[in-house]
Amino acid sequence: MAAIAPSTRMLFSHSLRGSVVAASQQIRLASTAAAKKTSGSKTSSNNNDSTDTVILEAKEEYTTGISRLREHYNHTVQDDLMVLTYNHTFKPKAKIPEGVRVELKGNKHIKPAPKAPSPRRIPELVKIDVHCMMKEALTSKFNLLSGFMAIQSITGEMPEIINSKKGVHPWKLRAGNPIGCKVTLKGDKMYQFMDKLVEVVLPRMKEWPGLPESAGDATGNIGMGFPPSALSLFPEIEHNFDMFPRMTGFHVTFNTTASTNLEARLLLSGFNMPFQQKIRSAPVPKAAAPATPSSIDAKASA
Amino acid sequence: MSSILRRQMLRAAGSMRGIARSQIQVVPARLSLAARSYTSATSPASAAAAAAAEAPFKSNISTTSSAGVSSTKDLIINGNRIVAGAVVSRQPLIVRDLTPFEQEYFLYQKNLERESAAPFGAEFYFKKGSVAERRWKQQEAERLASQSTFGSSSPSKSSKAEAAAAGSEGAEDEISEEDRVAAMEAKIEFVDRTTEADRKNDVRSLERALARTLYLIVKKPREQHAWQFPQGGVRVCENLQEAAGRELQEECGGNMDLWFVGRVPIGHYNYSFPKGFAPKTETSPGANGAKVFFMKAHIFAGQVQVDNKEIVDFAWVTKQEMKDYVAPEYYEAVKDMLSDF
Repeated sequence: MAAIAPSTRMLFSHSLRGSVVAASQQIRLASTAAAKKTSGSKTSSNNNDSTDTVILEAKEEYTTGISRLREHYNHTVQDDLMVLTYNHTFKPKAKIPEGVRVELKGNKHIKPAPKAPSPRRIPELVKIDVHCMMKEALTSKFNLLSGFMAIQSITGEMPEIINSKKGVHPWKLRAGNPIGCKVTLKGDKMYQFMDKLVEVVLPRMKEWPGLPESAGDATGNIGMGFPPSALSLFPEIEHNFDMFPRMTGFHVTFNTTASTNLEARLLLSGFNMPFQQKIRSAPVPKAAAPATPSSIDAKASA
Repeated sequence: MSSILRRQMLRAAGSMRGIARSQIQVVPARLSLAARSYTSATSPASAAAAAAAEAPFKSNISTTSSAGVSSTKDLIINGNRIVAGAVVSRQPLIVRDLTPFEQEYFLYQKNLERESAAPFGAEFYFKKGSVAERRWKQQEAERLASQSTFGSSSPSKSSKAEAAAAGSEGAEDEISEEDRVAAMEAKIEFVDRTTEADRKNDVRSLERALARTLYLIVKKPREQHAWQFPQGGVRVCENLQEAAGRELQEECGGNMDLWFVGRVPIGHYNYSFPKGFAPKTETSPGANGAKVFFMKAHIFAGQVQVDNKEIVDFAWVTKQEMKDYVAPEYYEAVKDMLSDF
């Protein structure tokens, strides 16, 4: 305990109830579970630990107002996405008859066949995952508390502790140790987080050029990482910066129902997410006509 | 699509700067697919006119590779003159009004959420003895006092309220500090949801009906079908988007920052010319009707300038208001591509 930063210690001593206690309980429980797992002694005496757990997570989702970005999606983005992504020359692929073996080229994944365009199949944001891994938790699991509270502050949801699945000896990581935490945001909270990100945080990340043009995992998800310095840009952290002894970087994954990278990027750009542009060299003009920006535009997109 | 992204990047610097604007604006600005929303110019008419005189706004109209070939000949296919129309819309700038039922429902849900929420670790978020902590306790006490009737008030809650009230009592001696902090804090003023243009019913203003999508319609100097979307004939060697952009430039002036949503039309409208009407026989011979293709566009800044030649008036109207302006058959043809919100 001596290694714990002063503010963390204060955090323990001052908060007799509240989420911090729940967090530390969660961490403690996780480690006891890990210990049980590793020692292999499954005694029933430890089971009454779980009855003491403070369960603080709200069980139900409450809709306490209309979400600005959701309204924007419903009224503007959806219409525009329909116009932009509608495939007017869609032809369904021939179905592979039963019993025919499909030879794969290399080890590429089989992609699902593109579906017919429909107003019901407009890409939509489904959930946002916020996840952080803290190396400092290797030395003491209580170092995770700072990141835990930070993620909770910025998302407004109780994070879930992530335990390592495997042990890696050179990193002094043992299987089952708490190593990170994550939050899955859905519904209004998701749109609130998105709003905060694009309106407050991303514009203040000075050196960040925007998401790359190649962003996306080809199945409609886009992920991005944030450095530890970005955490202090969130208004919740900014006003309480001293209370967080360790800043941590974190990952944010946007899960959408888009089926291609293009659709996913269009959707996110509809929410004002900045995308960087690859600087292409101007095409050599055939005629003597000077290359105006519009003609470059046409060439590049052709 | 890549044109959006490209545009996005061009505007990235703008959106970075835009944070200052969005903080000042109390009315939440809507976002757009092109990373911007329509913004009213800081000084209305004079600045806009000056800007128009200096340099017209650009839009994302891309030219075809054969754009170098300029032809004034009209495009006629199967006896129909091909015409490009532009559905220029201003997106909603504020969220819609709530119905009384919705207000009640959201309030109820809010109370439920508070009841079941995790206890707030005030010791963590506020420094002990700080003004912020005291103010928070005071607010909490007021809230609990006002909501004591809601749900089943548990004894622990009321004791909490008392404790908070007791905490706020001993704050008399530091009032000067509190005043100092309050003075430093920015005062938030809420802007009215109805604007000056709403009160005057100024349909030419872009700052009316903030919660609705507005569409641009223009009036031509004629008796029949005077009001309609800005439109004009497509020339040979020109695509629909170019034609729509050119017509907007000709009819409404270059003082509009537009973004065309794709290059595909969102709807079409057929009509045959009345008997005895020969539209510019030298440019379009043999046409006995027209086929209008509507291109969708968003406006981000600027305003229409009436030249009194091609158009004599214009209006920014909602879908429902448009019914009073345009001909019934025209409304029937276009109503399905317009937003109800």
